[in-house]
Amino acid sequence: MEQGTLVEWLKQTGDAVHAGDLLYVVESDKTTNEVEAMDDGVLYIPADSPPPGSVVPVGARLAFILQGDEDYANVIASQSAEAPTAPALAAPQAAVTPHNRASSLTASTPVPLSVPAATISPRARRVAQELGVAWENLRGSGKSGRIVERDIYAARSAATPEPPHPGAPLDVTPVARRIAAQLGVDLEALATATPGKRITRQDVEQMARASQKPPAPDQRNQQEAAAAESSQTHQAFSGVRRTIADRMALSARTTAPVTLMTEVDVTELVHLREQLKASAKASRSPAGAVVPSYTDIFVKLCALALQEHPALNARLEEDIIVQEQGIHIGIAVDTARGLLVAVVRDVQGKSLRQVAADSRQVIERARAGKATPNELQGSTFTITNLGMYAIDAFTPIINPPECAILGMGRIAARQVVMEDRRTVAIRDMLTLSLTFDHRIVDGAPAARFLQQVKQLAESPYLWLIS
Amino acid sequence: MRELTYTAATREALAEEMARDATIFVVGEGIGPRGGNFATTVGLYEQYGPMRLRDTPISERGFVGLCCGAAMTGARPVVDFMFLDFILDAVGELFNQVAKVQYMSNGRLKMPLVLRGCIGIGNSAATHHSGSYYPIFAHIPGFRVAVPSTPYDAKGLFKAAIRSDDPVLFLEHRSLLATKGHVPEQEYVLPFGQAAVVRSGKDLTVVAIASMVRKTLNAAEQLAGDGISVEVIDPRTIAPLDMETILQSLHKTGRLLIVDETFAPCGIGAEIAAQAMDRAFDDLDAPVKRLNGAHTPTPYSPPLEAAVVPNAESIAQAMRDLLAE
Repeated sequence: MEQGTLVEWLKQTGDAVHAGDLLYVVESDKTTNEVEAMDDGVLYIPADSPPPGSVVPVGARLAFILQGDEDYANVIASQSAEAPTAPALAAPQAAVTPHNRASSLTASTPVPLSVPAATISPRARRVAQELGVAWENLRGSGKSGRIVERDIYAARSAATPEPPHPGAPLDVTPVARRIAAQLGVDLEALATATPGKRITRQDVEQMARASQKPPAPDQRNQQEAAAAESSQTHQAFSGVRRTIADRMALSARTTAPVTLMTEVDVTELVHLREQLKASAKASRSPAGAVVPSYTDIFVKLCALALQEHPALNARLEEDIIVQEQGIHIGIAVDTARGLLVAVVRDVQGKSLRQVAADSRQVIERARAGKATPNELQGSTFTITNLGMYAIDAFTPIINPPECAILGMGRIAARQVVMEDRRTVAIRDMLTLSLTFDHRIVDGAPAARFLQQVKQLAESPYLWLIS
Repeated sequence: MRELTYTAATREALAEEMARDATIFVVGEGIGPRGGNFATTVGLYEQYGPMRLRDTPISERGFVGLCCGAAMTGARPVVDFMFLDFILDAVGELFNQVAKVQYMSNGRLKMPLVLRGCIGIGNSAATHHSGSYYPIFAHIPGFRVAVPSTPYDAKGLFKAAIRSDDPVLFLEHRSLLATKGHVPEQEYVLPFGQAAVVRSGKDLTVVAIASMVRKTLNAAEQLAGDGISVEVIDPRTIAPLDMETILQSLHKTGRLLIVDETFAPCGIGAEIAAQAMDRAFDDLDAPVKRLNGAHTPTPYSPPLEAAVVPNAESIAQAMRDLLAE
């Protein structure tokens, strides 16, 4: 997390606050948190504090908690005397606790701001060192903010590729450099988009094609622009929306996506689900009453196919293709706040019923905005289902750093020519759209994976007994 | 598959060993014609008579001293304390002689002595009949201490205890005596110092001792419903203690909880925690936690008695708390 949106204040200037009181609401990349006071005192929100709705970096100062007879002017005076460029504080809640004590605070004896050091478990420290993750500025999810192992993994998967050093010589072929100059392509930007890779003529030409710009605003008629302005609404580009944008752009910029589509005869699968429904209705246990959705069924079934095609359960990390042992399947969930990916972990070891129970729980939590970061990241393969909107086929975009994503369309009754090529029957058909990253895996293996998913879906009884 | 109770399993082990080795004899209060307060010797008196099943007066220090001498001269005595609490009357003999004879004789003398007794809190047995005390014995060099939690482990470890040339405390928790489990008909002996991973998991490691193993498994099952995967380890013997298995598990999970009915201070959980910190510091993702029985004499009142012992709910809570660290 590098920045968040200050949503609203829960206390106002002059309010007495106690350690543990909720002070304000901050929307981070994927969740909304209420931030607690860590000290007792009186809240003072300065006039120049960022107003609610603004995006603020982690460590920005939002307000002060004044102690006893401490007054705001003294706090400011001591800070400017002692630390004209005060270091950014480590976390938002730290930012409201200057740790100045009234008794010792005068303009002539300033007390420096103390920056609480991040605490970290020994294991997290070891894992951070092994993975080369810098933890000093992370915010821990352990008790009282301790950084634990999961935070290191989360930080690693959230880390975008590092831009090349400013001023470092760019790795560009001579031809590419010449053509870039001709076409007006920004080599710096291109290098940032493809870290660690030598820029070739092809890259430059591709970039030039991609950046066929729309006419610049200054070419538009001024009046027209003003008219358009008044009929527009503006929305802060932050929080979940910004995270989605960053990740989609990362995916579009860095992956080499290819989408394969195939029609699947799911008549038997539909029968199977009808039976599951009937049995759930008759069940007396709460676990038995959960009816697996078609998405759940495909989660399970993709896990089976991924076990045989581990190349698609992989991600690209700089120069290494990492194949995951566990199969953690993300489910794209449409929530009021935007698209979230809810993760069902270790699907390979779970029964369909367990998958259904898990996915229901994590999706509900995602929709309610209550999912933990851990429930929204770490998937190794994603499924997105637009069947309920009468979509047949589409080209899903890969959820980075994964290798592939499966899109499910609607199930619809269609006339189908049967295998004997003489009979026409009405069957339940579904189109699957698999987008994969051609950098990691080739077309034929991806097609074999999709073919296996299709076969499993067409003969569901086979995998149920396996 | 044949099922036996815990008591029947140890009785079978004793009977088989007595038939194999004529130097084995049992002493204790009521272990003759009565068959033992906990039915540990039922049927054996009829078979072997008073020479090998010797009823004693209430004179713990006397008969332990007697057995110490018998073991020094080559016999393999089994002292049946009924309630382990009564061993405290013989501690001078145990700590000063039984535990030290082999060392003092430079190994010339052996001490093949089994000291068995019922441990644990339950049934309003109150404070003189509820003790466990095993950490005290694990503290003293010279003793081996077995705390099996299943009929299978009880039989295999009882045989190992009989055949050991070192003094062994063989401790049977009251709440386990009537539990049933698979015990094969063919001969087997379980080694000391080998823990059992009784449930595998990846989110946290719980070391549970004696009756706490079953309760911990119940709690782990509750958490599994929430997608939390708990690894449960039963050390089976606490001296020697199989730290390797515990540390391997900790390397996997990063979190360790020790569940033990006995008192926390200077206890076996403290020992495990200290070794984990010493040998696996960089594997720890959270502080090592202990859940123990309350540090108090055991109350007679049933609700108070229940309140001093960890149960599946308090164990599940301790697991959740550790995961939240």
